[in-house]
Amino acid sequence: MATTESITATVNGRVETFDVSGLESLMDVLRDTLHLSGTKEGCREGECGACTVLLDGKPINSCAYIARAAAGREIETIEGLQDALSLRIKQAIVEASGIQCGYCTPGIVVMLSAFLRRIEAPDEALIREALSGNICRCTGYSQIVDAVLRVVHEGAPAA
Amino acid sequence: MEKLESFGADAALVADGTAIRYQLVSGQIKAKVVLHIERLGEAQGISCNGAAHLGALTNLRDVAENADILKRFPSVAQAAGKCGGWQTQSVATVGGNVCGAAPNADLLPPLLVQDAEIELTSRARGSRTLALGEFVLDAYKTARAADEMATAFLMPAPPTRSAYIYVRIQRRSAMERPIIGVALRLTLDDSLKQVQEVRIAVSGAGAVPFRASEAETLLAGQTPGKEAVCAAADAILKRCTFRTDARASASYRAAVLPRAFAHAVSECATAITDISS
Amino acid sequence: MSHIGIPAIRSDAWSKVNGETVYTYDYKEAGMLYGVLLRSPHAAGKLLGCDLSKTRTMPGVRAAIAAADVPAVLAGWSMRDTPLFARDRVRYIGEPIAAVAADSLAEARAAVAAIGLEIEPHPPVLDLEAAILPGAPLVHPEWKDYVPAAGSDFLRNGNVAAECSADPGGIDAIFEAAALVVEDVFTTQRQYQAYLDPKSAVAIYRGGRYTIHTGHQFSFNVRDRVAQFLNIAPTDVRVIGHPIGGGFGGKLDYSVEPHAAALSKAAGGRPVKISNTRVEDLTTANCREGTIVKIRSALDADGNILARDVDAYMDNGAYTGEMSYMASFPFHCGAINYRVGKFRAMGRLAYTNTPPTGAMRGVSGPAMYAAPENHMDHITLELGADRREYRLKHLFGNGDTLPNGQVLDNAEILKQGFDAIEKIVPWQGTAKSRTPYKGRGLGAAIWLVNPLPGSLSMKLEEDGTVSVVTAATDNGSGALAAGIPQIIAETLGVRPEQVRISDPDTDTAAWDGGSQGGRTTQTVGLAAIQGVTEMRGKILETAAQMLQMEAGGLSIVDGQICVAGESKGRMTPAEVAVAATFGGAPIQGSGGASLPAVPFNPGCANGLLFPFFTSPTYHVHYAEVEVNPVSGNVDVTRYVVAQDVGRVINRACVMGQIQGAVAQSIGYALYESMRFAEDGKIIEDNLQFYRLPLAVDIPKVEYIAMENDNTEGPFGSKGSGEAPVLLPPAVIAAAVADAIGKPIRKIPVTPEDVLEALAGDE
Repeated sequence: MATTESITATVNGRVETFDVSGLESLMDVLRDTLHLSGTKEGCREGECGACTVLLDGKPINSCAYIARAAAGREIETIEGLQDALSLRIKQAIVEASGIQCGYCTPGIVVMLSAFLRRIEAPDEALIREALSGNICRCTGYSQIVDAVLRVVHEGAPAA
Repeated sequence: MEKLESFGADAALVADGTAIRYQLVSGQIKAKVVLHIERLGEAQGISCNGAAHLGALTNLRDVAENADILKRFPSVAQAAGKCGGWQTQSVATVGGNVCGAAPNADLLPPLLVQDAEIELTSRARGSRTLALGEFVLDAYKTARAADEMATAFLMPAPPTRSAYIYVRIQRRSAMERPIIGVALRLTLDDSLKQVQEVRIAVSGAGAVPFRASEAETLLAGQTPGKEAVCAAADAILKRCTFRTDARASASYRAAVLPRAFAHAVSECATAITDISS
Repeated sequence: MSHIGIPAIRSDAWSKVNGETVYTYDYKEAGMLYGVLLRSPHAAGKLLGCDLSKTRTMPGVRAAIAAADVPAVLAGWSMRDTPLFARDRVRYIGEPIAAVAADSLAEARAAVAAIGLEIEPHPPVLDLEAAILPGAPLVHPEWKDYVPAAGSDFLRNGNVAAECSADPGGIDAIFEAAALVVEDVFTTQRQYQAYLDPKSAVAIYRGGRYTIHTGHQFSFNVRDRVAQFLNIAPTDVRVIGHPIGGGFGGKLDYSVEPHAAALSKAAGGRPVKISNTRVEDLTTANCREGTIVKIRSALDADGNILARDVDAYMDNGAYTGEMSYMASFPFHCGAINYRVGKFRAMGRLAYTNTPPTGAMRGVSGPAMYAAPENHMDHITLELGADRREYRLKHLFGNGDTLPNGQVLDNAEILKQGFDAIEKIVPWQGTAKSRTPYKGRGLGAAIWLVNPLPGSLSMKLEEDGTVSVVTAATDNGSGALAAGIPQIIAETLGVRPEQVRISDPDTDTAAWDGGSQGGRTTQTVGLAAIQGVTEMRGKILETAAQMLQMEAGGLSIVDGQICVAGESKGRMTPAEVAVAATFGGAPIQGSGGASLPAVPFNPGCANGLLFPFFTSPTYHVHYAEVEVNPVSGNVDVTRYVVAQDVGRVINRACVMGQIQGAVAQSIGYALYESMRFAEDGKIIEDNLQFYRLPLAVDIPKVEYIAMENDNTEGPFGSKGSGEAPVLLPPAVIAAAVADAIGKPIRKIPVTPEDVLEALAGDE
């Protein structure tokens, strides 16, 4: 029988206290308990990356992560990514037409924010490698990659 | 460690958030209790001074990007960087990959060819080390006692005139579990023409990844040309059992393994002569 | 400043990039129940019993229904052969047998798991050729009693769900006398649309009507299907569309909407949400069908093709949906692009005990082009001819006809395509100069724009912006987020950001044919021009009255009402809107359009349900691949597309469609695979095994837009989103064959196929 426990974590800069039950995934808690539906469910098996969030700054598939282990941690979802680098990434994707249906977009923006915070000047091959945990069925990726190259070549240091 | 001791076999050790959550939810892995050990600081970190000390809870992404590992044990870094996407590598650990003991586990072949040892720690008995080849017993089964946790992996300094490679046969270029894995450490003699020593580890061709010791013996002292490589490949094949599954057929696995091996030898031989020239 | 041809930003871009967009998977209603379907574990068999008595009393359960609880009717898009819940027979693994609505998902799942189900399994019909042999077990023993959804019945018989054939006579004699006969058999597997947003719907029964919330490509079709299943009038159903996380044809027909609707009624009107899990979605999807195409050509001593014979088997799955139209495609595509003399064709859709197939981008096209294009390569190999030269020699030009007799007025655009690609990648020489393990493929296609009618209505707001009501859907293409606003802006003299477009609602919007076949920008664009023309007339009339001038001397330029000869505007549309609204009637306009029918020869074939290609488009594709001789893996190293787009409305959106379509089709050619085990189970049943192409797998597509004004499209444009998916399997298979010097006759081309072919040499 699944036990329910109350935990506290920082979500998008705000301290939140919420219930988690059994082996419930972080994705389900974010979407259903905290009503942050920007993180998307695509497969529930850690294959598509639509559920990507940042845990202490690291990109993870929230569908594969046990919510209870997020106690005391820092979680950032798409709704919370408002720093200068994230805004530049979003702007570049919008301008490069790297969005069609948009379902994969939050996961990709979150992934790219972590990626460009960690690696300042990646080349195209490394960008594609970093994006390989995010499936996009609409765009065929090249306009998204163009957007990232634009952010990289804009030259300003990563925030 | 206390909790591990008290719960013993009823406990599942979870360090990450990747495949294991599904295995627990679906009942594939049975556990009454889950001990989440992701943040145990003592078992994290990489230090490299000729020999390497890899904390078992080090994330695969950190292994893939570590400058020392990339320089001295590149195929270990390579394997870590190919294991799922970056989201998986951010939380997956070396210990998780090895202790999961899947027949095609990525870290095992490159660690096996480096004579890696695993350090296991329990509250009752302290730490002990075990050769990795003796640690993995069967598919998904290891020699870890119920009250033990993997804390580190140790790799001795590799010999000079060596090159390493991890050949991973997979359909797409990322996010795949390997169909066949071949890890090689090739060491040439002074003349750079003959094999001084070779270590070969194969995964996806039996219940556990294994060192192909007969093939290693056959190649030692030989020129790594077509004949010697073919003879070695035949010796490897004798030890393999190939399955057909959703990922690939047995006949493909049998066909691709000798090719992957020959490719590994040729790439390593070229790399050593390139470095030395 | 023109708004046509510029890469205007999509109106929904920022909300999508911020994670604000609410897809159906995110959608919630207060007091919502969770619905789960009980799906058949067997591919074929007698349904002996389904006991819901205990289910209804389980914790949290508010409704549990099966066949006995819904009208005993059969529904279907073209053929009424489908029950809502299996009645006395199951026909595919995953077929809905019952449904439960409960307070929580966990309770609904537990209740479904506890349903007493009794099935006597039978061996499933899986093999296409065996299915249509006389004496084969019938998937639908009662097929004779079925009626079409509309119109007269069509050619079908037993397990042949639909058939289209053409035989001008004399074909066999030509083959017998031929100097050379070339024969091939080509097979293709299914392809799953794999939109990232799994199918889901929320249904509410209230006031005798059903409201369905769903992210769907074709709201009116869902409405009709729900009405069919529940045996009610279509207007007793209201479909409200939501942003769609991809569809690619998979969301054109119903999925879980009618079940959710029936559950809501059974639960006393509580809203019910049904969401497919990914595994559920993948294993029950209405995939692109698998095919077997047998193709033969008879040639004379000079290498001209005198006759062509095509015999195609297509997998219908357990129920027909819209597949009956697809039987026409072996006929349309079997003798296309190049002159092949006399042509005999047979296309047969076979019922099998597998999930019903349906439309995926390009429908049967990828298979129906892969076969003849690779067959052409085979012919050139036999003749010792160059693949490009031979194609150009026999290529359609202006005035050539399709097999249906339709005259192609501008088929010369095909030659333009070959020339355009030649400028970027010179073809250079013959097979002898091939580099080991590197290969090239070249192919052409002629496609169409879906002709279904579209409509919209619009009003001028008191602030001068334009609000548009339409049931058209933006499938992600940008047709409504960018294309239509650009067209309205250009025609009305306002800016695209001043145009807002509603989500579909079948209660308030007139009929639209849905997001398919590249039709939205073209057809709804034409309707938009009509609506704007009407509004502009009213704006200028009102302004004329206000200015006490003749309307003829006024125009709208860059958001200003201008008098001829004056450089400064006199007033804004906003001022006119206020005056009109409070002085008489708000300014509104509407439009409806469809593409004109194309003259063709009605006697050209039997069972030709899909008669002609409206607004034909022309395409040439080129691919370079590199084969890894160690593993047999294939890497697409270069991909070039020359596409006839009429005129580009939004450059970035067209590029996105081409890049995205080619990516999906590279997936079909190399990575995706859907095979059935002997018991009818799908082997690749989750995203670990159903391999979708990733950022490291897809090259950047080089794209040449061929712009030749199309009189049938707004500002000369033509639908462009679907066709780029047609040729990658053809040219990639051809390139692999070129790389390894061995024929490739199947899709997908796997490393296993490559190693097997290479092993023949060793």
